[in-house]
Amino acid sequence: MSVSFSVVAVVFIAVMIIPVAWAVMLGFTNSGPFQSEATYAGLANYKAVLSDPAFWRALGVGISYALITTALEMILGVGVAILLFKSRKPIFTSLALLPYMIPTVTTALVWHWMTNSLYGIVNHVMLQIGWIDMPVDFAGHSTWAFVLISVASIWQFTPFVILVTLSNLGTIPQSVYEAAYIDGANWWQQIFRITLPIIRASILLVLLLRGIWMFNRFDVIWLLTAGGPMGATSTLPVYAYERAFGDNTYGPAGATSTIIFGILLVVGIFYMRVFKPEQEVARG
Amino acid sequence: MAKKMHLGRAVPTLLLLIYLIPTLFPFYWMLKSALGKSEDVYKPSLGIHSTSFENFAQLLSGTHFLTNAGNSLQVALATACIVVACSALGGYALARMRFKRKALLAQIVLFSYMFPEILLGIPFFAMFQKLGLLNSLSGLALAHVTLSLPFGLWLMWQFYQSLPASYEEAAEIDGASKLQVFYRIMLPLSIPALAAVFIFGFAASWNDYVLGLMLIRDDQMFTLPIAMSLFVQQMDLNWAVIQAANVLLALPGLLLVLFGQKYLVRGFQTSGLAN
Repeated sequence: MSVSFSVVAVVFIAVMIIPVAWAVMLGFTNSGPFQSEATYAGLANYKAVLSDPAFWRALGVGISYALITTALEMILGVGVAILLFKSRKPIFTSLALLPYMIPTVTTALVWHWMTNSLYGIVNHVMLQIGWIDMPVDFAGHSTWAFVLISVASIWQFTPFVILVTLSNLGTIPQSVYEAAYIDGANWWQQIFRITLPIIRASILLVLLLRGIWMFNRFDVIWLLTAGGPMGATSTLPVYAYERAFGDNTYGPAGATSTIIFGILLVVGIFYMRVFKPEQEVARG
Repeated sequence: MAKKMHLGRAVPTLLLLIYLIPTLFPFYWMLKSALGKSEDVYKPSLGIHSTSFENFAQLLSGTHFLTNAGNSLQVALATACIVVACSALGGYALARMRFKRKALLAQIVLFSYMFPEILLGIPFFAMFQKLGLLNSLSGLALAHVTLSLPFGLWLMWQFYQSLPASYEEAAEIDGASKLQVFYRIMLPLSIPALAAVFIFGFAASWNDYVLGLMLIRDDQMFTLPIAMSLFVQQMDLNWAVIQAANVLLALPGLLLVLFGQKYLVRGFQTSGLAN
């Protein structure tokens, strides 16, 4: 057993730990895809990144994107899960979960097409209703671009919250509700006094996961707006990608990645200290 | 009373429909565009006017769709197999071995589940360049393991923990070795959970865009999501053909949700995300 454990430990370290250590190392060196030798750079990359206004803008955009999308995903997801649990129609559950299992490229290509400025259905309908006089160039206007990436993200990732919340609701014994019903609790009281307090711990875990995942999100944004126009939808992962593959320098990209990792670590440790989710597993 | 009960069921259903219409509309639009005649795709209207498979025919004849799909399939299968093997062995060892700092290890596994792809992708690019693994499907599969290994390990750890140790004790009394106990008893018991890990690993790889974008530069080696993201820039492909490709790319995941919804919900109950 210890042999097999060692093999798995080696794989885990090779694919999870070494890349992160490597990213941290890149942040302290001058190197790039077209440079054969890496030289020690000290804190120069951090100084360059932290004095770049685009970095701070990306941090701000990333935080607002993560907060807005996470809040709406949680409210919609928990609400819809409770409704689905009550309605007991499996087909509704399947339909509500559909966006979760498709690739982000599919999401991006569909939303790209629906919001196309010349032939998109969204512009067509908004023109017909009379909300707008001119077709909107969604990816080319800073506010609309932010709305576009947020709506597409909420559309794709709310089902994750629905799925986990539904799994949780299924573990609450029916007798709890029967007792509440006998005591005269109405539907709202059952939800706010019984259901939500029971699943509180896992709602908080999902909140943490979704918040971090949205903060780290790269693909939806890159595919829909590429961080544009003029950096209006550029978040820290987009900023890091542009440093590595736009400027062809690993140093600032490594420094940015390390900063993202640091933010993650602080939030993660704070969360683990407060909620201790690992105790569930580590008892044995 | 009867009327009140009726209303009590009607309001949730109505609210669900209000949620489901915008959720399902993009799927309708994707299918409608893909199945319409190509000359109709640039005349936006909500209804369906024509159906044909010409877009799918053009997709298969005018692009490298099948080559790219083959690349995606190879990478996803390899990823899923590695993740299943590591999750089964690692999860079992973590559940049954006794050692100090187990809580810390659980934290590291849970924490690594939150690593951003971009944080892993950039060093993978730098490392693979040195190792000669850039532009190779096996390198990409190795990178894709990072997407689902933490979840797989976590799920199997929880799963084996939920099995009573008395099974193994009984087998050991009968003279079975530790390895035999694992292969003959624990592994067969865990096939449903391992199937969930396999599907999760396969889907994470099949759906990936970020790591493929960074690690594959040769268009013969592109996986499907990377190749399709470039369709937009190809002038000879209209949006009907792009949506036809989109339907095919999304199909495995859609079928999985429609037919495996029950198992998805149960899988999450095992994972401990639901407690």
